[in-house]
Amino acid sequence: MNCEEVQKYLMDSLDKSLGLEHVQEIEEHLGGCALCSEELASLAACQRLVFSLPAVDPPANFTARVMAEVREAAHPPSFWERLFVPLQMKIPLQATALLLIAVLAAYVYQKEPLQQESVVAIRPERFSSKQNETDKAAPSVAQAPPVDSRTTKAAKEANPGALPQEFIDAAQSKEPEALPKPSEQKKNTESQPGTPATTLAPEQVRPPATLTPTPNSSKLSEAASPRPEKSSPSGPAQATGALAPVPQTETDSALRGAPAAGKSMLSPEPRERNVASSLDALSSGTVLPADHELAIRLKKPTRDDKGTADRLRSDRAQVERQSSTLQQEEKSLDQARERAIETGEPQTVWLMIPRNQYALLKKDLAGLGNIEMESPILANKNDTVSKSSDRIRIRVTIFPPLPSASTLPSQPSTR
Amino acid sequence: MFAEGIGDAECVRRVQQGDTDSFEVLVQRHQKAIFNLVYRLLGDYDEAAEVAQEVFLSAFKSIQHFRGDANFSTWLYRIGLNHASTRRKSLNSAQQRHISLEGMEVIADGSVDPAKSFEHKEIQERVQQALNNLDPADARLILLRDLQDVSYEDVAEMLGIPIGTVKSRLHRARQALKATLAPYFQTNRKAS
Repeated sequence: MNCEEVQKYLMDSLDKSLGLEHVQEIEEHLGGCALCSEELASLAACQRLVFSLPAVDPPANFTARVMAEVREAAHPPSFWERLFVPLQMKIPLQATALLLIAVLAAYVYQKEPLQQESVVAIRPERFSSKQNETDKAAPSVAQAPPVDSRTTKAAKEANPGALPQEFIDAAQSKEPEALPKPSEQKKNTESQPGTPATTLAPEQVRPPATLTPTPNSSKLSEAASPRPEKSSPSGPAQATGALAPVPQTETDSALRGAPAAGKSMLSPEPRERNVASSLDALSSGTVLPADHELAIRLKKPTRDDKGTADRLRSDRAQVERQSSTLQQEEKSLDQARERAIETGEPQTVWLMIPRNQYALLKKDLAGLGNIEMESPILANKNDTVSKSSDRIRIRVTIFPPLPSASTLPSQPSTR
Repeated sequence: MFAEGIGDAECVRRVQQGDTDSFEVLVQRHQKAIFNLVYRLLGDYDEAAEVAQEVFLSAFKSIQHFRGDANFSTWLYRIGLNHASTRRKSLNSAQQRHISLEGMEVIADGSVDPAKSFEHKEIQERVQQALNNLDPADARLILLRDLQDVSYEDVAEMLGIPIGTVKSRLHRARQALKATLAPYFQTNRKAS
């Protein structure tokens, strides 16, 4: 057997699987052939080296890790197991997250309480039904706020025969103009530092608790006119633009109390009460109408006619009833009266006076002219201001004096 | 464990019937061989642990397809060789593999002489480097036959090649390993 043939059997010799018939021949050849003998020794050494490589133990937790994965593959965790397992880690995390969400929600809720209440007060049922009635009766007044339709309706019911058409027209034409556009109203609200950005629907607009034709309110009323066509130079809107009190949103008027404190007719304490009452009314979802409504026709002014304020003050001095809270009302009445005489257009004034001085006010108004309409409007059940407060709201419409006979067109004499 | 006394085939049957715990017996029985095979193919302890874990998980997932024509160990070795080969390719392309011998526990090391222990470690490192430098197919043959002492028939079944081919390839692989370790043999010869 030569070296080439021996090489074929070296593998079997290493594996000790060499047949008995070849063992003797291979051994004889290896004994005489150094090359083949060295080759076999080298291969055997390699085999021993590989075989002598130490066995390495797997990691200690190898079986547990494998079985954990095997069990997970066999039984995929359910939704609840994924959600809560491991409990010791996920439950505290979820509880913390829930607490944070609750705190955040409470913070957000407390931060915007007025806005939520305003949303509640947008469409009270009481006024929605009345609005529908008004819409059916007079489509032209459909856009008027509820208080307007109520005012007009109440005036018609109180004295339908005596109510002059002029008053009805004035009521229909003046009231809507006081409605601020939503965008302008929002602007007004946002322009007040520190006031929440609340946007109220036109239905929500109502006269303020106390309105005085101050310069500030005049500017605001001009800016808040909802109908541009109404502010034509000769229209009533312009006539009332300077002095006519403009109904504002409850929130607006309530929150404007502080900046306008120096110019308001009320002392700070009553204004605070008004603000509180207005907010109460907002939260109760009601819109407050006037408690009384008066319409007076001014007497024709004479030369010796003094200012109403002066005359009223002198009258008051006579009866020794000094009341500082009525001075501003008198002043505003005087201004409205002068304005009505100058422009020839009706003027509307909102007053807030103590309840027990209503009779005195009527007496004062009787001195200015004839009271053509007096409409005591019953307080609403939810009217917290009227019920809880000793002050009442009065809407006074001052009509200019009727033209005298000399100024009237000449009538053909019957005689 | 109640199933430790039963054979692989019975364990496999139980696992196939839904008894997951029986698979634990198979893991404990074959984890060392699979881990060492993978470890010698990869040369990295942590990689070997991860791949060996994947091997058993893969075996569990596909155990329903095991028909029992071959031994379970043969089937498991085949899965191990496939996973190790795949990982070895990715490791070769990613970085130069290094051999970590510090972490392994040498079972057959009865030497207490530090000098001999160091020499042993050096030899083992050289052999491991030689295996790493071999063609993966050659390394698989050498490890299966010379380290794991798997029969030619089983090797042929694992690799899906005839026994004659296994022998010829193994001969070629041993020659390649001898050539790689030749400098070491020459040094030993000169030293002796």
